[in-house]
Amino acid sequence: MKRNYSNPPIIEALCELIFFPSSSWDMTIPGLFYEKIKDEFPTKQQHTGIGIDFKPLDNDRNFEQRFEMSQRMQFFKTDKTSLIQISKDLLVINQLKPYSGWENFKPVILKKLNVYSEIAKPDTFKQIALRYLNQITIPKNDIQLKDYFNFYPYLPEKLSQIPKAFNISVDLSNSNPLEHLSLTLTTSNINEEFFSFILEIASVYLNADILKIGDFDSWLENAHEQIEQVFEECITDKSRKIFGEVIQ
Amino acid sequence: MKNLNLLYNANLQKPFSHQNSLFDEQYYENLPSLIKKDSVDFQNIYYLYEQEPEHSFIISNLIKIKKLKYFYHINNMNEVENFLNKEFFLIAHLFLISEKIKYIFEKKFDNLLLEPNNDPEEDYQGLSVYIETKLSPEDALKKLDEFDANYFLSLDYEIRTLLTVMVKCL
Repeated sequence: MKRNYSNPPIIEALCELIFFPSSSWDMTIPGLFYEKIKDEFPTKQQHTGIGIDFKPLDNDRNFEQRFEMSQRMQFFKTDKTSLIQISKDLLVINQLKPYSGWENFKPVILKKLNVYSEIAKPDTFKQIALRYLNQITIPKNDIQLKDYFNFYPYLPEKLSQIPKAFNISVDLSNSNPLEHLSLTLTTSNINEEFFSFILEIASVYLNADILKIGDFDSWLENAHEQIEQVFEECITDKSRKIFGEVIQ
Repeated sequence: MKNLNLLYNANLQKPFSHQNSLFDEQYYENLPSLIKKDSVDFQNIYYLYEQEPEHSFIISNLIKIKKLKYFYHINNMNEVENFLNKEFFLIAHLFLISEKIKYIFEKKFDNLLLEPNNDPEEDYQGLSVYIETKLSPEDALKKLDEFDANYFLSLDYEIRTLLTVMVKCL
């Protein structure tokens, strides 16, 4: 049974589509893409990343340093609640707060993939993921993780049960070995009054080249359904109370 | 080696590198040692970041906000974080402002304080930056005027309404 919340904890939902390098990509594509979406996503920002990578040389003690630069365009809605990120062989659709439901988010993903496909003409997916980030805040005087989560770090009884910070992550296998569900619970903010956690649930399809772009819709629907189920399994009724479950 | 690789990749994402000139190489050289000094929850954000290399807008912003701790002493971090999550365009400016202050005040300040600046009666929410300095009030105000004239007043009006920069003479 699908549950509804008046104060859902979702702080971000994103669909990340990485394509196999395509020969049709060129620098005009972000501009052409912007032309098609600018009525909805008029504010643009360029994001430049520089990464350093260490490539092992012939023995374990020496490494070659490599710097890589990536340019990514971000297009925002005027109210800054949603953005589209585009760079070479990458399309990301991010929905920030307020999340107005899957029925609204899914058409945005499909529509933007359509626009991207028309312009960039990608051949196949390389990796795709649907991710949900939930922020759950608990009063510090009531920090019994098991009351709020069914997925949390288990600590032996003799140890302090009040964590200072933690990060736990599990990848769950799927019937398709190329897919997995990833769960991460991490402390994001701690002060004198409360603990705040981020529960991230992601459905990831690695080596997604066997998935036809035309079959993406059904993968997406299935991924969302799995994420919703896992989310409900990870939380307790005490958390549902915080989120204001709407009983129908 | 995989972890080291990821850690470096995560941390060396240059957050606002289209304004590169205001960051010096020292910043990058110091990063590994700075990381060791940082709090545990910051490290956890990195772990999350590794799995979600920057495509999550929220995680990417959280990292940038946490990095502000290197430049500012932040009062009421939660409120600042919540505010910056809403007004995320300010984050880049806060990095740049700290660099400009360092340059114009010639490092003659003890601390940069960043805190919420709220006026419920006016329904106003913003942030204040206090430059704590042992300079005389006259000299400090002269430097602040220089900062305004050479940098702050050139910022968009929207930015200036949300950020206030003041001096606090010690």
